Parts: sequence; C-alpha cells; structure tokens
Amino acid sequence: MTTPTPNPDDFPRGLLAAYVDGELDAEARATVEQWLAEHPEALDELQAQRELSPANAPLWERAEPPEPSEAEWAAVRRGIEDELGAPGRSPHRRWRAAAWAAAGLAAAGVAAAVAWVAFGPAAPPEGGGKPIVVAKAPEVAPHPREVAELAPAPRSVDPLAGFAVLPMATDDDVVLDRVPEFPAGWLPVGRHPLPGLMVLATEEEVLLSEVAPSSAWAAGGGPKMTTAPGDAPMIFAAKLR
Amino acid sequence: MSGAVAAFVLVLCPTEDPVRVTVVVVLATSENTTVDPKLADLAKEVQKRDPKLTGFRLVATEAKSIPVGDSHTFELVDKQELKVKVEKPKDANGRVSLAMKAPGLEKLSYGCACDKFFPIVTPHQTKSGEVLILAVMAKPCTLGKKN
Repeated sequence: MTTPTPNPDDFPRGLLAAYVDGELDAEARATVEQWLAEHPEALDELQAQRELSPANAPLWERAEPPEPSEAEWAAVRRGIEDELGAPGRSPHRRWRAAAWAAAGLAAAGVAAAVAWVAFGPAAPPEGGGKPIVVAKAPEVAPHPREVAELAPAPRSVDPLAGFAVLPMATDDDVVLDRVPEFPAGWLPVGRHPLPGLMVLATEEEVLLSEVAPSSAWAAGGGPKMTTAPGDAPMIFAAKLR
Repeated sequence: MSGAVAAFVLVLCPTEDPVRVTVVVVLATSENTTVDPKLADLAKEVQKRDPKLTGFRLVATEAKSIPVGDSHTFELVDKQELKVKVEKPKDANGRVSLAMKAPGLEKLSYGCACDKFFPIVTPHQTKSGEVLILAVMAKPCTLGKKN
C-alpha cells in the first residue's frame, strides 16, 4: 500500500489506524513514526487506535451490538417507502399488491354477510319502518291458540322454544277412534264416541235384510232378530243360561 | 274429453260422504249387578231375553269413518273381530245400510236409522263367562262440521 506523505497539521487519522493494524509499507510506516515523534500529543490517539485493532476482536464480540437510533430507523423507513413508491417500480409488484388488497376486501365482505345472517335482525314486519311491538305477558293466561299466534317462529333447535305455554288441542281438534272404558274424567280432550246414554233403535227404525249364521250353528237354529211390541230389536245369538 | 273432465271432477268431489260407524263393546255377566249408566237401556232389553245377565260393563268404544262401499275391521276382545261394510248411504227413510261379519254371524245385513244403536248379543264368552255384546250405530260423517 502506497500512502502519500501526511501533512503534519492535518494528519489523516485513517493512516494512523492503518499503522496500528500493520497495513503500511516501510516508507509510510517511517513517515507515521516521524510524525508521531514530532507530535507527541498524538500518542493518546495512537493508544486509542490500538484499542480498536482487530487484535481486540474477541473483546468487541462480547460487547452488545449498537442499537440504531430513532433517526436511523426513520431514515431506513423513508428509504423503503421511497423504494415502494418509486415510479420505476415493477408492474408485476404493483399488480400483486392490488390483488392482495382485493382479496382482503372480499374476505371482509364475506365475514360481514355471515355475521348479518347469523346475528342480524329478523325480517321486518309488514309496514316497513314500523317499530316492532313486543307482546307483554298478560295477567291472565291466554287461550293456548292466542299464545301460539303470539309466539315467534323458533330459531333454535329446541322445538318448544317458541312457546310460553304449550298449546293444547281442543275437542274439535281431536278425533278419537277407539276409547277403552275407564272411570269418567280420564279423557283430557276430545269427545267420547259414546258421549251419553246409548239409545237403541226401535222396531220401525231397523230393516233386517239378511242373517247368515256361521257354520258353528246347527241347521235350523242360530241367531235371529228378536222383537216384541214396544221393545228394541236386537240380534240375540247367545245361548240361554 | 268432457268424459275425462267429469271423471276427474267425480274423483275430486265425491258425491257421498263417508259414514261414521260406532261400535260399542260390552261384556255382560251373571256374577254381579253393576250396570254402566250408559248401558241402562241395553241392559233392560237384553234382560228381557236372558234375565240371568245382570251386570253390564263397557269395554271399549270405537268409531271409524268408512266410505260407502268400503269396510273396516273393529277389534273386539279375545282376538274377536267385527268386520263392517257400508253398503248404502242414508236412504229416503233415513236408514244407513250396513253388512257385517261378527262372532257367530257369517253375514248380517240391515238398515238402521242414524244415531241409533242396534245390539248384537254374540255367542262368544270370555274365560270368565262374560258374554260379548256389540252395539253398532252409523250416521253420515260429520267430522269438521262441529257435530
């Protein structure tokens, strides 16, 4: 390395560091030594340069790395922003940024629609902007049908969620086909197929067309309709006791 | 074309309402004198034929709407059955014609006024000796007419 002769009034500090690191040739090294002899006040600086020498590298490695200052961070940020906003930027990179932005907007829209369906208000009643009237609980229990009309449509899985009171069928809603005989009062709803006294038909009200006994009956015997003046007719097939 | 339309109308609008047939299943015994209040008239008429039958109890009541020309089988007791066929709807005399097959009866055909019961004392007896009695009533179907 060829080094110009230093000016004694303005000796380059980099030359001093190179001298400490042993990077100078003999001529430059002699020049530096001469200058140091003429400027003994520079010996302190020489000592400082020696402390920064690569020979002390292990000591520097143990030290914490320097933290960038706020100003340095700001400078780096500005550089990145300038790079991104530069007019000469690649069209491919701009298209990719736009695609990412569009995808983000679409995802946000889908999320908003799902939230509206799941948690949004129910369909407004007829009449558009009319306020929703909330039915107040009556002091007297209403008819089950009225309760059913007031109850909103169930939205949950619970099939009884929409009923404040279970609506019960009325007598007109139930058709009883077969009723076993139990003590009076057991039938909660519906009309008994035999609601009252059994009324028998009179002789004038019955017209017998055909009676054919089963083969179990002896010839000439078997059931026949028995009548008597003023009495109800009936088919009597039981054996007399 | 018009014939097809008429047939279609007949299918959709049947001219004859079904008949509602009610069958009351009764067991009569000589072991007691308890008579169901609803069966008071029936018990009196049966006792005219067999005075030893003193107790009458209701076992079940079954009602079924049967279209004219169709039949239905009513379950009785001890796996006994009563098959009823509606042969004719209510006629000019106010009678509904029924045909049936009951225990001990191969075939029984009769017409009876609406809303009136026609008793059949069958030969069937339960293990405890009770006599099976049926009472059959028919009337034009009134379901949905609040009657």
